[in-house]
Amino acid sequence: MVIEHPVLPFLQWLPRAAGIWVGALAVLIIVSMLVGFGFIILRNGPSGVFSRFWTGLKNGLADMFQMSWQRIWAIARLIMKESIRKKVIVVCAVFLVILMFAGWFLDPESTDPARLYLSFVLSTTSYLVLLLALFLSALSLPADFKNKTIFTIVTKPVRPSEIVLGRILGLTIIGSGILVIMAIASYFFVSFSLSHTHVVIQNEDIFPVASSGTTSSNAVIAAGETRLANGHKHKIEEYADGSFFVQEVNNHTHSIVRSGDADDPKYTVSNEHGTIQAKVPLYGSIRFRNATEFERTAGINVGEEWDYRTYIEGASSEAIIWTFENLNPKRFSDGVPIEMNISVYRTHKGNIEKTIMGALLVRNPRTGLTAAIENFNSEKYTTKALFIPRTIDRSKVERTPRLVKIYGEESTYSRPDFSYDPEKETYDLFEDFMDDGKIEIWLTCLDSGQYFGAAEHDLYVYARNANVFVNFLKGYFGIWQEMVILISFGVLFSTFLSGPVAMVSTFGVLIAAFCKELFMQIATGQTLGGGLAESMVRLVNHENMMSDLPNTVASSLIKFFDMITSGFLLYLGLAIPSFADFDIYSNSLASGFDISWNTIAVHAVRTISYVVPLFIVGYLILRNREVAK
Amino acid sequence: MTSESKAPESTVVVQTKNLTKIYRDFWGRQKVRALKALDLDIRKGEVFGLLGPNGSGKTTTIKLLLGLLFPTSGSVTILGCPAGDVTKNERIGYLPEESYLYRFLNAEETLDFYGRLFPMSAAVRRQRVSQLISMVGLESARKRQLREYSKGMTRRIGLAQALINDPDLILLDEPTSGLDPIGTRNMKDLILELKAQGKTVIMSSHLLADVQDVCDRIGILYQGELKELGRVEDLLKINAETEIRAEGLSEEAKEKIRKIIAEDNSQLLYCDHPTSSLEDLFLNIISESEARPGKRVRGGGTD
Ligand SMILES: Nc1ncnc2c1ncn2[C@@H]1O[C@H](COP(=O)(O)OP(=O)(O)OP(=O)(O)O)[C@@H](O)[C@H]1O
Ligand SMILES: [Mg+2]
Repeated sequence: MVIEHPVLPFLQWLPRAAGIWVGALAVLIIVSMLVGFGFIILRNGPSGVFSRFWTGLKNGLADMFQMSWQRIWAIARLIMKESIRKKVIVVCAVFLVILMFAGWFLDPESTDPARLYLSFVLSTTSYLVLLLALFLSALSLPADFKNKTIFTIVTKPVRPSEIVLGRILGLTIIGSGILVIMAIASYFFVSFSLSHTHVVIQNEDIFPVASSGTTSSNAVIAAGETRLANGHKHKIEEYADGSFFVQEVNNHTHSIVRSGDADDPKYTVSNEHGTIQAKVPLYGSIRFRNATEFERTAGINVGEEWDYRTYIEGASSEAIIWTFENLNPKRFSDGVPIEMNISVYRTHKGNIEKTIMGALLVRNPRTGLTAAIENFNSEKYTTKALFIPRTIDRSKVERTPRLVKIYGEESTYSRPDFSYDPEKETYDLFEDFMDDGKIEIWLTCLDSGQYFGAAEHDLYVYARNANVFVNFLKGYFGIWQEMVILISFGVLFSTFLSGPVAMVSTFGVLIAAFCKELFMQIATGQTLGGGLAESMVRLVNHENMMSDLPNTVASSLIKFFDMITSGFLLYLGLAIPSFADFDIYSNSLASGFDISWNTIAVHAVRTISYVVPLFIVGYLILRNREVAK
Repeated sequence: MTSESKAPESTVVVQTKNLTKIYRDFWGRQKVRALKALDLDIRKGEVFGLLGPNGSGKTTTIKLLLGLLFPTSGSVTILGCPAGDVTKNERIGYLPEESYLYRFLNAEETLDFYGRLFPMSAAVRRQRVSQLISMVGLESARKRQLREYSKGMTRRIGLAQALINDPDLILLDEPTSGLDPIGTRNMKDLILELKAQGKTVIMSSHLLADVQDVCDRIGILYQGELKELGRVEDLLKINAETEIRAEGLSEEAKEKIRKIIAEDNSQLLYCDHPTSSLEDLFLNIISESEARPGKRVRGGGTD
């Protein structure tokens, strides 16, 4: 799974994020205070500004801290009733119809059907739910203003803060209900679509194997292939003890039970299992060793534009090194299962059928003691599963330490207290290769002229399986968080814009949220051709993007203007959420990974950090709006 | 006027000082001067009528009192609070010009919803909801959505909504509009009943008959200016005119009266069955202020 925006551990992420948030909020508060002063002066003239400001502030604090849940809930209930009476449930029907049609187009015979189906239902759900959230949130309050029903609300003891919060709450509950319906429908859709079984009949699909005389329990007594289903077959073997081997195809297997008497056995193949997974990965941190054994943060760039992965050369001293800090010897008492997705870059074709060989090693980060665990064939686009046994045979352990030199640190040149012991028969993974809780896993490429590439998350320890259904719900929780943020934006815009305009503005935020990276590049002037004004000038003058503008007063002015606008855009950019950050949910679910509680915690705090200021700004606007205008 | 406004605070429920509203467009250009320098004191327990032709600023005044509009200048004190204070609304009921209610709710749900906006227990709320529904005569339609309601029915549920919190001060903007004669009668009875309960009522209307029957005091607005302010009885006694009413008057007696008037160097206008006197006053003020624009407030109007 590609993770371009890794989620930091919660406690590590929180202080920095909170710092930025508090800073942005401080700017917001200062700006709204200045606006408040301006407002008072405009409305009542400069005399008594401070006392008026003080009363305003006191009322504002009362509006924040004396909100009544009864009233918020009354408004939320009203919004929910409105949505239900206006038949938003139709969206669910639309979703079901889409699923029905999708059944014809999605191909359960593809090599990774789970990913296909899950990405489909996730993206369809998120588009529908986000659009619905957009419509409901942007149109609800303006409708109240248009129908003047707001008159009967604000003349009751309702605080503007309660109107805004009640709306956010009510819309969130409605959206959640719809999301839950869609999630359950999606779950059944995916599991029914992928569910299949195969037929196996004696002497047609599976044939007895002539006994080789041995009577051991794992002797093969019959072998063959299942019948075709969902576009694939499984090779099967039956053992003397009644167990079966079923080949894994398209990420799943089946179990087989034999019944009936010995001459006329019946084979019953179970439904598939393992299609949808929730693997819990443990990630390490990556670094590289170059050809002269020096440490590097990245490998070689082989000229790919996407620099997510970097490469090491085959048959050299180069290595990709992952350091794992979180391996618990009790949990991995037999050894450590590893999975990886290594990218292969060939400089010469050679035999295209022949796969590139690689080696997996473990190393003690302090002593440099290294053991070559396994050589493997690397195929592109497949996940390779390897196992590092707990007990490592002497033959695998290298007699000289492997070094990682660091520029400027002479000490690392000298041999560390290397611990190879020729008398020792076997080595223990945790005792001999773990130091201070750390173990290094090395990857090298054995074929000269070929390259292996990897990013930090391309190799992980496959710790365990989590509950698939729970993971499914977690995936939809990601959509839920996006929905809540969008609802808050919609409600904010609807406090001062008319329905259609609020809708378009919210839609703008949605698009900006999906392409936040591009937005930030413009804001920070990383795009070619300069900022807003400069690009405009280039556009009008038909100039190219690269050449410098002539050194005139005008161009300095343009650059100055761009500096100001980029500062503004940068601040605005802080206010725009990045929905790409939420891709981790759908990617994990579709790729069969467990969504960690850490991810959920970080994004939950992120969501709240958007909702709170949006709510406050919406409240301030509504409070100062002349309702009957 | 200024001397009267020093009445004890507790008895003055609504006070406006120099209240002015100018509607402006988006660019801040002046569109309409809807209300000009209104000074008004409304006391506890009285029924006050705002009277004026269409577009004279009645609704604007009520909206300013409620804080739905911000004054261009001047100030409002209502139940001892500024107009923008939300807590005052706990004791206020408001029936807007047209009933702006949620059309997807039924009568019961409407009242239940508005009831939930007040600090009252669920039991009290339920009790008030059914009490008000039967008071406005909508028992048979209590489960029907408001979108199906006729204009008069909407008006009734609007009134019930205004009374859900058993308010001390009730603002009714044209309460009788859209009501049939029986409905109008009921509305007037209700206003008198509210007055009997010691509540203060401010109502606006362009129908003189409504105001005449129920109001203690009226203010007549014309083009945003307060033209007359006073007790209904006082206003009916128009200074310069005398109304003579008698029964079974003989022709000789009439002749005698004419003579007396002639002796007094006065001129008899008419001596006939009286017409609805307030209407005269109203038309009078309008024609007069069209002839001589400006403020005209009778002295001693507020007692
Ligand atoms: N939102 C507004 N924007 C601009 N002008 C307005 C607005 N509301 C009212 N006006 C103007 O203010 C003046 C007073 O209007 P208002 O609604 O207060 O009259 P009214 O006495 O209630 O009349 P009616 O008996 O017809 O209800 C009118 O000239 C009207 O056109
Ligand atoms: Mg009006």
